[in-house]
This record gives sequence, structure tokens and C-alpha cells, in this order.
Amino acid sequence: MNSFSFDGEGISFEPGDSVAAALIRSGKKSLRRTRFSGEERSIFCGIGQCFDCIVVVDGVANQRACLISATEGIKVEFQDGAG
Amino acid sequence: MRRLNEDPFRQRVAIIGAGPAGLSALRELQKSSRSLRVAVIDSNPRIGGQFWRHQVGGPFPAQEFDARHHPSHSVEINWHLSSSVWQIERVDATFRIHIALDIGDVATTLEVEKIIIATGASERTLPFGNWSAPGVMSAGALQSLAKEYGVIPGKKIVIAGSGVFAMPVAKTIKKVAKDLGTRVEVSIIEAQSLFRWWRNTFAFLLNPSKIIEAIGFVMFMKGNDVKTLSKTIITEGKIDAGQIIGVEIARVKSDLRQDQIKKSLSADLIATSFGFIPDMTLASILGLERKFLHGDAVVFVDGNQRTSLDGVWAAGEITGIGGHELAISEGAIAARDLLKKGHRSRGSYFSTALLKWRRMRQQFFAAGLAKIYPVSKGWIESLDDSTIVCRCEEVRAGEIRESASELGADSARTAKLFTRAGMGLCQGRICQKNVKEIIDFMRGDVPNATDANRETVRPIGGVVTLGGLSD
Repeated sequence: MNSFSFDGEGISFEPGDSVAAALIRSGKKSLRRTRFSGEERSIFCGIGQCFDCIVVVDGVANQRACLISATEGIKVEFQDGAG
Repeated sequence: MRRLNEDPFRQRVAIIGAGPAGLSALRELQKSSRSLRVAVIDSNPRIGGQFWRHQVGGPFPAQEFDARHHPSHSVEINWHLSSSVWQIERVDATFRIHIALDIGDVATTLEVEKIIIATGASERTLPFGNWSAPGVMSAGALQSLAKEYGVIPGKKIVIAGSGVFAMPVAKTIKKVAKDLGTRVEVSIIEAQSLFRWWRNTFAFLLNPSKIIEAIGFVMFMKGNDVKTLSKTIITEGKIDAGQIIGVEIARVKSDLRQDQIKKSLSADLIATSFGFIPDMTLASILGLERKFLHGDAVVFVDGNQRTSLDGVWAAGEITGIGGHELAISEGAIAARDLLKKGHRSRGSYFSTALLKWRRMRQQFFAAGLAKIYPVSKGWIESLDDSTIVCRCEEVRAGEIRESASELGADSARTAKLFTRAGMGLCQGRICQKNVKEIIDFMRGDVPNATDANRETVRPIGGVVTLGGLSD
């Protein structure tokens, strides 16, 4: 089964999934926390415009989970603030 | 064949945006016998734009517009998908289109003589209490999760806002849930009265197919238990332990001013949509002349979809929100004119006239919809000072109001300089129109043509990394 990790936890995905789609399917509610008031956020526009679903992918911050394709073995992390 | 491809005199055309308008233009170019090299650029990994979103590996929903299945000997197509245009320069008679690939790490440049710009639209959302919390998303995001990925992110979904888009989204959710064998409740909260449709009878008579489409939707909603509450607006998402548990709603007037009495409904997911905003980023980079149409800044075009800049045509939502059918007509008209320009016309006058008649009918329908579902200024009066307006920089309504009342901000731009609203990662794509309306409302301004040319000026059109630039 295809899977990537989210904060160390294995997340299985279907071929063609975006990271956001796989995370939401597996029940993850929140993907990041904002810089100033520490609010939790998740996917909002779904098409790469709003940058609300940003996560850390393989150590690189600010990656839009709705645009990044889920691929075997990538390391996705919850983004705390600026990441 | 090989020789043809290497023909240095082959005219080079770029179509920016592979949605209904761009693909329709491409299909028309393919029909000609003119020798062309066409670059099709889209930021999505798959063609189809927002309207023809489809499952990975699944069939393209409009086969006749899928150029990959209709190879042509005279037209060579180069696909540039997952590619965003971040800058366009004019150098003598050519345009240099700078593209960032994937997530901005690789940059490339194309040179073309002609451009058809069809960058489409993005969804309009209005701020309400807790709209930035997880579990609140745009109706388009919900549609994409269901349609592209087969994900139904809630069991009790409320689609709140205004406009016709809620219906196809509700339909998608019900259908996908049925395929997945899961149960989902869907209801629609619509700000306007459904009786306003009577104002659109003329547009309906010009577009009889729309009558059938509307009846189809009504039957589907009835048959699938999708309830609509009209003249109602969402005022707040109710949260308990970080989880959406319901929506607070209020009755509204047609100008979107809210009643004081609030009611609650239970829900675990809120999708919201108040129509669409033309994506004018590249149009403004090109310096195309703009105008206001139904309250949106749009590209000014003539009857042949020519813009104010020689060699550039515009089609689809950036010339006025009107849906995919109008976009298809406009794309075809633009391509026909491009083929004709400087050459003896080969296209039949009759079929072009027919296309233009169809475009006119569809424009009437679009104008009708804009009248039925106006996003009037009442939402600003009801907006709580503590509600976030700019999601990226976490700027609240009170700060934006203050920038106008205390600091003298007179536009979305000056409000941005005072408050950082619109300065974040999304570069105002979500909040700019709302900030502008708040500032205009505070000042009692009415938008004019100069404003149309000042709106949505972003010097860089997309994400590009410094590393990508230096390569």
C-alpha cells in the first residue's frame, strides 16, 4: 500500500491523490498553525490560490498540500508558524 | 512531418489557461490548415481548468475538447502543465513568457508572436465568524475533493453563500457519496430569494437549454433530499473543541443586510461560495485595458475578443463571469480572429456569425445571473470587527476599518500598507476584493473605470523561487 508520513504517522493514499486529499481522507482536521494567533488551519480554496494548507514537505516549508502529489515515502509535517 | 515541425517561420501562439476557453481556442486553431506551433500553459497538472476537473486517470469530461485525442498535422502543440506564468515581456513583435515549473523551482522562457489569455476565475468568499477554522472551505475545494479524489470531508455538509454554483457542488457530493456507499446530508444556504429567477425570464427564453438544466437540478435536489434555505446567510461557524459543530444563520435582505435574530443548524463541514472573481493577474501584467462588468474588473475586448494590445486576445471568465459555455464560444471566436488576422479568411462568415449570436445569448444569461445573485454591500455592515478578513496575515475587519477611518487608507493598496492585509502568501487573491469593498464602503466611493485598471496589480504572477530564477 502507498503511504507517506505525517508527523511520523503513516498515511495511506490512492494513486493521484494530493497530500491534502490523502490527509483529509484519513481524518486529519488541521494541517498547520498560523504565525501570529496560533490558529489551526486546513485546506480552504483547494486549488493552490489561498496558501492556507501549507505544510513542511521533506524539510521544505510553505508547500501547498493541495498541489503536492502524494508520493511514496515523502515526509510531511504539520507547519507551526513560519515552519 | 519532421521538416514541418522545424519550420522556423511557423507562427508561435501561446494559450494561457487550459480550461474551457483555452481548450476551445485550441480546438479551433487545430481545425485550420495554418502551420502553427501552440504552447498551452496551465498551472494545474491536468487540463480542463476548474470546470472540467476530473479524476486522475479518469476520462476527460469533454472528449471533443481534448486536443491530445485529435492530432493535427499543421498544428504542433507543446503542453506546459504544472507551470505558472510569472512574467510576460514584450520585445519588439514577440512576447517573452516566463514560466515557473511545478512549485517554482525551475524556470523557463517561451517566445511567441500571439497570445490567447484565458486565465479564468477563482472563487469569491466572504468572511464570517470562524471562517478560517479547519472544517470551513470554499465550495470549489469541496467540489475538487469529491470529484477529483473521491473524498467526502463531512457527514453533515452546509453549502452557504450565494449563486448557482452550490447546486452542482451539492449534486457532486451526493453522487460521489452514493458511489462510495456513505451517507451524507447536504443543505444549501442561499442569500438571495429564489423568486428572483422570474427577473431572468428573457435570458431563459434566449437559452432554452438552461430551462431544462434548471429543472434537472431542482428534480435532483428534491430526489436527493437537498434542502435550500433562501434569503438566509451564514453569520458564524460554531466550534466546539476545535471542531465545526454547526452554523449560525440569519435572514438577509437582497442587499445582504442581516436580521438581528440568529438561528443555528448543526453541521460538521461548511463550504462557502459567493460567486467568482476573474483572475486578472496576467492581464494586468500585460497592461491590458480593463473595465468593470457586473462589479468585476474584467479585460476589455472587442467583438472578436481582441484586447487593447495588438497580438493578444482574451476569452472566458476574465472577460466577464459567464460560465463554461460562454467561455467556449469566446475561445472559438478569439482563435478564429487570430487565424484570420493578416491572412485571407478561410472560415465561413456564417458560422462565425452564428458563434457570435450564441455568445450574445450566453452573455444575456450571465447578465441575468449577475442580477439575480448580486453580492451587495450589506455584508460589510454586518461584519464583526473581530472577524479575520486577510487570512494569511491574520488581519481583522476592525483593523481594516480603522485604516480607513483613522489612517486615511483610500484603496485596497493603501489599506494593505497600513495593515498588511493582502501582503501574505496568497498576495490578496482571497481578500483583496473584500478589503477594497470595505474601504470603498467606509469612504462612500463608487468604483470607476480608473479603478478597474488599478485593481489586482501584482508585479509577479506566480510563485518562483530565487533558485529557479538563477538557473
